[in-house]
Amino acid sequence: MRHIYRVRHLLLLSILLLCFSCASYYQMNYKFNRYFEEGEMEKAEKVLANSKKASEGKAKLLYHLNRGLVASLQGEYEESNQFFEQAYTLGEDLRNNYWNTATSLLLNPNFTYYTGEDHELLLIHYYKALNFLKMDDRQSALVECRRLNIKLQQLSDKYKSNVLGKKGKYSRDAFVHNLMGIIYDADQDYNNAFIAYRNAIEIYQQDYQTLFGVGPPEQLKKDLLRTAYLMGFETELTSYEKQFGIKYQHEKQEGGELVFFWNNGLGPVKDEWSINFALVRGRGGVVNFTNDALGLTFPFQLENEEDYEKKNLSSVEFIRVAFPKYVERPMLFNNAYLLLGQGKKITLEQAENISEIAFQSLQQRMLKEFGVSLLRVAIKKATEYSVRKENDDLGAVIGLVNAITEKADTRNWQTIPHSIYYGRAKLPEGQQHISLHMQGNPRNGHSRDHDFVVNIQKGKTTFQTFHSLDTDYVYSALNY
Amino acid sequence: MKPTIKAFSLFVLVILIGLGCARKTVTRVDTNTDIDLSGRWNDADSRRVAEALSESVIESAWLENFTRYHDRKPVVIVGLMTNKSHEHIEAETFIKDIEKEMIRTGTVRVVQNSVFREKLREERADQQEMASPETAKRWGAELGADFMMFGTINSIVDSEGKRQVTFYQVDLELANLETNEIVWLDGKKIKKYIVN
Repeated sequence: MRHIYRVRHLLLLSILLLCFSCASYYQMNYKFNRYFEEGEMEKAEKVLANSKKASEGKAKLLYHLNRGLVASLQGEYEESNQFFEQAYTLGEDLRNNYWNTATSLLLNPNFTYYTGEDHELLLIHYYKALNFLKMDDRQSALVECRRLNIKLQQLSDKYKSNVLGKKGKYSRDAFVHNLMGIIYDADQDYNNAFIAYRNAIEIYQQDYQTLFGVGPPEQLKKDLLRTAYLMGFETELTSYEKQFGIKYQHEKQEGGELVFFWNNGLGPVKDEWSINFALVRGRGGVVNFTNDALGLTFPFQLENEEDYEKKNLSSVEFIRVAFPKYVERPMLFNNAYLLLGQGKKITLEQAENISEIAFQSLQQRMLKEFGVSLLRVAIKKATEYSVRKENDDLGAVIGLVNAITEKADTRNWQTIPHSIYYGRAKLPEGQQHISLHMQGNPRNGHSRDHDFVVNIQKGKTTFQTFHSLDTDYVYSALNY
Repeated sequence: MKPTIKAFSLFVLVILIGLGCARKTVTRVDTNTDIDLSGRWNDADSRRVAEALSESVIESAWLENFTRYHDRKPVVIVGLMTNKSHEHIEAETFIKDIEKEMIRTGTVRVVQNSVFREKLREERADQQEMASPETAKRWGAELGADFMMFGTINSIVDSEGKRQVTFYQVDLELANLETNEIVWLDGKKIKKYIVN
């Protein structure tokens, strides 16, 4: 009888081993990631299109986000927006049911739907709005602005009650306010543009400067002054002129304008790291998970005291708990300018450091992550102990299965840029040749040019984006 | 197997209590119900502004003075609403309510603003070519406005820790288009105390 049990256990163990690979989300999608990083968008798209499972699986949000982005990079703006719209709906409606939550607690968090990080859900609208603007559909772009506004308000509400009790959190997105301003501005709704620019300035100054070292771009200051002037807000204009040390000079618009967004590099990927906790039994069946090096102690109530003593489970044990972490993909180029002809240069300014935001967001909820991961391990342990009382062998097998299945959630949107830069230029009407010159730091000495032809219409704002996928990192799948 | 069941029950209980994941529910409510969720500008504020200001504009002396002097109803056009608050506020929601109230009571005639006038003119121009001469609408028969309504939305936010006071002030004014005289001026103030 015992022999049959063992065989069964081994069989169960083998099945589980096959089901749980220790690969991160990046590694599991290595083929797609590789094509994307090499700029082989058609091949990357094919990989996605052929993975029907991904489109319906627990990470379907990421599938739609990636498809949306790949389509946008191929100039398929309408198709791209269809995928982004689906991603938006998933981001709004995806709820994990009890079964998902239970399984994720029993095994690992990858059994829950991936519902997106805050900054990822905001970026959906950035891409959607720009796709609409490229299709010259300003009304739809403004819908994205309104959605962004709602999202931003939800974000600031979410972090109002401060868990860590520290000031300076990513709860407001300056770039997104700036983007809203740019879109309202293009629609000649200078009033709303002014409000958005003013909010953006405030957030850059109050939050971004200290959190990410990104101050308000000079272009934003100019845009704020211009919209204040156009609205006839004289008091505000004078006050901001004084604050920025700029005297506003209104220039009559003769041609059109170009707003250029440079999506630089690639955002971070999520990986896993583990901490060893000592399981110290306290009074009344309380078990403390402690890590002295990190100064962490989390108490959990497992079973009653007698059971432990009977089964001699009072000794200290060590367990491994997996947590997610970000791995940065540093930028290869860290500055760029646009060459407009006749030697006129427009420096592109950093408006958003997505990589830093990702790190910050995870750090903000690390305490919650700790809590959830430890609860998961506590439940696994409780099950193991209970089974051990009945059958030592089966208990040992469960212990082993628990150790194997212990895994962090390493899913995130990995095709977004590391940072977003932008610039605004006045250009004459008609087809204009412009050149983007990207430069790396003096250490790597990299530089690259990219030429564009833009069609400028009188009194209108034209939008152009470019995503450079290069990163300053010799990486391999093993690194993630 | 009792302890296993016990552990499993405990496990289920922990999940249900600690990580309850509610489904999204939607319920229809009366549009006049005040529901404040975030403390920001919402439909209830817009409704309050519309009620207060439309009552004020209809019951003020300017209307009676004009009607008695000219023996006709005044014609009003709603011009620019300037938003100087910290939020993106849709002014159209209460402006439309004020227009509706003026038309409903039959005391004031309302004409389209410049954006819609342009649209109407485009349509009229189109009619000159495409519509039959008997039905094509004439040029130069537009109703000229006597007064123009302007407005501003302002806000002041004061916060300390988890407490916040938001003050909104919506001011509307009615100016005589010929003489620039302000014949009516009123405002609605809304103050909210929010504790997070």
